[in-house]
Amino acid sequence: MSKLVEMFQQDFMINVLAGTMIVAAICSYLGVFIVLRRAVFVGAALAQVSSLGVALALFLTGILESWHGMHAELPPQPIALALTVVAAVAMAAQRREGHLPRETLIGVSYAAASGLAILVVAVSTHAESEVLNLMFGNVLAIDSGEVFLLAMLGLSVAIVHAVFFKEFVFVSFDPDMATALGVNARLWNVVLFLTIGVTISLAIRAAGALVVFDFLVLPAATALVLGRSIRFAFATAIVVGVASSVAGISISYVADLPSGPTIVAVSTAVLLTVMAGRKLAT
Amino acid sequence: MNTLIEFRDVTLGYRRHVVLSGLSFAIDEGEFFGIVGANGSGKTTILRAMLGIISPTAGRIEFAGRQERMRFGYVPQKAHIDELFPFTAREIVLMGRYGLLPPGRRPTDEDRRIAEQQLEHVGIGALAGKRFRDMSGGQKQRTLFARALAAEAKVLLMDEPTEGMDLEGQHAILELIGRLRAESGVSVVYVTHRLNELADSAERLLLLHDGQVQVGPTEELLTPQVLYQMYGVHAAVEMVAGKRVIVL
Repeated sequence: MSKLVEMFQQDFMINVLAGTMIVAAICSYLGVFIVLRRAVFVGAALAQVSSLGVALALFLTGILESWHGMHAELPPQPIALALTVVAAVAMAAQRREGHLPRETLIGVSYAAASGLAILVVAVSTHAESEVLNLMFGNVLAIDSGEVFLLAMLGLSVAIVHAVFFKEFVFVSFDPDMATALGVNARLWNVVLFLTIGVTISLAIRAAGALVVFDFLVLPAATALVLGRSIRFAFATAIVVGVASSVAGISISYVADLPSGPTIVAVSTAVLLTVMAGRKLAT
Repeated sequence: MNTLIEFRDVTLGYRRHVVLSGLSFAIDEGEFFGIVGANGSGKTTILRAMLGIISPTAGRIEFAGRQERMRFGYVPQKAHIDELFPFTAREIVLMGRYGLLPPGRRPTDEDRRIAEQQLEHVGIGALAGKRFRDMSGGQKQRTLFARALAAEAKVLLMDEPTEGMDLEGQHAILELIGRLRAESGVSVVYVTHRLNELADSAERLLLLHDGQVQVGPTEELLTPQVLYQMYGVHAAVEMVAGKRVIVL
């Protein structure tokens, strides 16, 4: 207990908790769309594309330095963000009657981005640990600047989704009916995936790929197992995500465990408990 | 009678694969128009072109004389609805109003009233709060009908609305369509693979079989000669209990 009190007295842990809670809230909310659309792999694929963006930025900076002796550093975050947004839009805009199903495109993005990122890291002049840290983030390294950035992200996503929630739900549920009624289903799909892409790109830098993927899938799955209504599912996912993040960080601090995997373990335990409870109840 | 939808020498397909070509027909206001063909014959492709999900690779589709698409009430196959979404019947029917609302505008009390009214209209008003996934096949189909009606569109497009239903269910759905048409004068485009289902109810038919297309009034198409020409089978068309049926 004293260790838990100690945790809340440390400034850096307050940033860690605040940052992780914001990431948990946004990703758990967006995760409901991802799980309902049966596009769980989207989170993993966009995470890898974002990582590739970071690796490419550092690689190109290294090339510029070695060729011209310049110290012009290419900013990793904007490049990762741009690449993720392009990938998200491509995934959203793909027509169903294309040569390959959307799931295949997502799988190709995941495999290609993962392989390329590792190759780029291997030939990068930057220290591998530095590159990996930038690519996959670290919950415990969240500082006040990142908390502010995540809060702005959360606010932006909240505003866009509060205004266009009806459109996002409709085109996710029945894009054909939406088109029949004159709603531009492709446009709203692209806007929805844009918010998902931007969120994943920024959240990964702060919390890491594993934690972000966890928040995109497990709280939504838990909420949908409980799911009484669509609004209940969104609200429950946020509550489960935020509670899992706080519990995970606290347990990892007290028991001296790695924070990311502990958050995942807590989320999994919550999901399994809910599934077991549901099974018993029926 | 005004023409609502007109296909003018339309070719439909996906990328380089042509599904149907040289397609010309018109659907009039208030008409019950049937599209009949086996799986893979192109009937759903025609429906998707009407909805604007795919564009013709040649020719053009006009809606009330213009090329801007019109709003449709669309009744998809039940299997098309993803039951992972925990929607109630009320929430699904309310979606029929979304095409009438500008982006970002929430449904009003009036929209909610119309959604409830349409649920009553199709005979499941008491099930408004029931989850779609927990409903029977007939109740689900009625919910999708109510959603299409809530759109207040001039045309209802129905994709195999009686698929998976028993005879009683099929009869109930066709009765419902007849009642809706009598009350509101709405046009109906009904897609099915069972010719007998529309033998007595559709006013005109579009028959698709092995690349052949025949369009015309039901009584002109449902003759032993045309059926033999289209399907290569000897069939009789008889009146049973006052209804037209095809007998093989």
